[in-house]
Amino acid sequence: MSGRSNTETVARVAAMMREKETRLVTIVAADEGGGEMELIYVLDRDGELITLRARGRRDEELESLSPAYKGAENMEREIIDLVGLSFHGVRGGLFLGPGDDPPLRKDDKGA
Amino acid sequence: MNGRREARSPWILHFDTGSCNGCDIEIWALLTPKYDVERFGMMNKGNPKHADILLVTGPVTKKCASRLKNLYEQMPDPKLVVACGDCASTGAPFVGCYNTCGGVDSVIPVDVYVPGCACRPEVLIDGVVMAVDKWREITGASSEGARS
Amino acid sequence: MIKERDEMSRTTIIPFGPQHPAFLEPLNLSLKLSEETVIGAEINYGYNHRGLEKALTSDFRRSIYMCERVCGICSFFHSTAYCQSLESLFQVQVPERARYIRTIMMESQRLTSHLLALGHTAEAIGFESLFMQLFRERESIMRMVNDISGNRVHYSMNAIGGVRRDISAQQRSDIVSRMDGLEVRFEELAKIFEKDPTIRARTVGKGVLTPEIARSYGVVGPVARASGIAQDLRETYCQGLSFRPVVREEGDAYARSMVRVEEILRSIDLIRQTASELPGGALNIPFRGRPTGETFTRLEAPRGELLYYVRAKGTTDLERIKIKTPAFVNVAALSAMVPGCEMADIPVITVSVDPCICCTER
Repeated sequence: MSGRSNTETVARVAAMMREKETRLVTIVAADEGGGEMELIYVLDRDGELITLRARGRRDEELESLSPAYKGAENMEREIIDLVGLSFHGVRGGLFLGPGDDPPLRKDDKGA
Repeated sequence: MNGRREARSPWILHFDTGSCNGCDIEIWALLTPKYDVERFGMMNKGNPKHADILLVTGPVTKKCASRLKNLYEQMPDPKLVVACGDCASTGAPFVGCYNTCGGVDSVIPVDVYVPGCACRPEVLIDGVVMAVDKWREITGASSEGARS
Repeated sequence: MIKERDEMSRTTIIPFGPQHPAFLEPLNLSLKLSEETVIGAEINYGYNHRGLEKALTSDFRRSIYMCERVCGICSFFHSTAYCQSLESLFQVQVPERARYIRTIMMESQRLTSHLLALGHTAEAIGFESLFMQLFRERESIMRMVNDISGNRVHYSMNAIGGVRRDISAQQRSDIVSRMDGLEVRFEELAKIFEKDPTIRARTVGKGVLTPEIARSYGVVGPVARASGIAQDLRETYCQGLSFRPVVREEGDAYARSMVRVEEILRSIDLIRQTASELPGGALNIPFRGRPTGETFTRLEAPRGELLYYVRAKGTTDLERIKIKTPAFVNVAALSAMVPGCEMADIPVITVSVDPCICCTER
């Protein structure tokens, strides 16, 4: 039970959205190579951009923001497809079909 | 079926297979007052089973390939395909993108290629008129009777 | 009575798209119907996914050309957002004249985009003559941008550090007189949108998105502003010009159309202001070297907030580029708008969010 690498960040995002009108703009996922990844949660509060970051292993199952925030679901599904991460309780298949390799993975050659 | 063939005005079907929308809005511009392709005796329809000419835009994404083939097969013979724009004709500038097939002719046969990114309405008119002439040749309809 | 109907009816699933006369682009809705009433909708994506986030990382210079091909309706917004990202990485200050020219081109593209959306709505309603009239006006803007940039769809006018083409004094006066003419003619069409009984009957109360649900989906642009959320990034971008966002409270398809109608008039006004106050000076500033660092850039595109995230490590290729398009969140909100509507309202409601699938899927 090492805990998910982004659990704390997701909890902070959810708390921020509860306390004051805050909009999730997007989630940027980047493969750092060597099995590492980075997630950036981009928020908008009163027209100002706030970023919260989480780093961790690529093969870990990540905490999902979708139960707290509907708009996060497609963002997470896209990340599953393109970067090959996995979120708890979220399925991929938004843009790519089953069996397609995640194209934005570092050590993957891609097409 | 024959009754409509004798009307000598081909019906058009448009399908977007993953283009940037640039060519699609130019196709829409064709239907509107400034260009108005209906004067050449053709009509835009949404049903493949009524269509004679298929206008395809986009480099054909992997998910669209089977749908494009399906649409083409639903169209009655004789039928013509016009690839509208550079990416439909050759796959460029999306060549090398992992989710594209690289042009319409990698999936179904193409009769007329319209260049341009995005293709201009004037060139599109040339392309569809070429397709209409070809279609009339195949069906034996004279172009004189068409502009009634 | 309603309860009785529920027991009698059975559920049907109707596929809507990817090829459908009401859609310009491939989008598939899997509609769950109870008799004529839609009780649920699943949106299926992926027909237009080309993989541009990968393609754009190959060469930062080539990507100026490529990023316009993300979307043909808001191409200039994409290239402006991209160039602004690179400018912030290179720490280049864009000349004032270039900033004004970008504003003119962006607002002109907003006009073509909103006129397309309104025309599409009229077409979905079956109001053919209004569709034709809106497209006639749209064509005059297309000719104007063609005169300025040499292109109708992808203007190719942006460069890292400024713009590549100038607007001459002759073109400036042409822009102003075209805007004057368009304003008069469009005000007539706006009245039809506002008052016509057919349009009202087909759009008022259809596809309602309450502010709470709108926030839970994080919608942006005219869709958010029609649901009472006052956010428009142009407020900060258009400093020095008089501008305020259009906001309505109803949250239905009618409100979304009316927000666009009002925004067209605001854009006409903005173009006139920028064209008549166009400052002199250089068109662009050269940059040196290769980009390093990371940056977030936001713009108000026709459909709402467009965000570019660029990360570079001092090489010709970019490390990561992430594009958050407004349609990505707006299209998803459709699944909250359609339950309870009639099957026949689906095209109107779908078109009212101005879906742009090439932006959504990239």
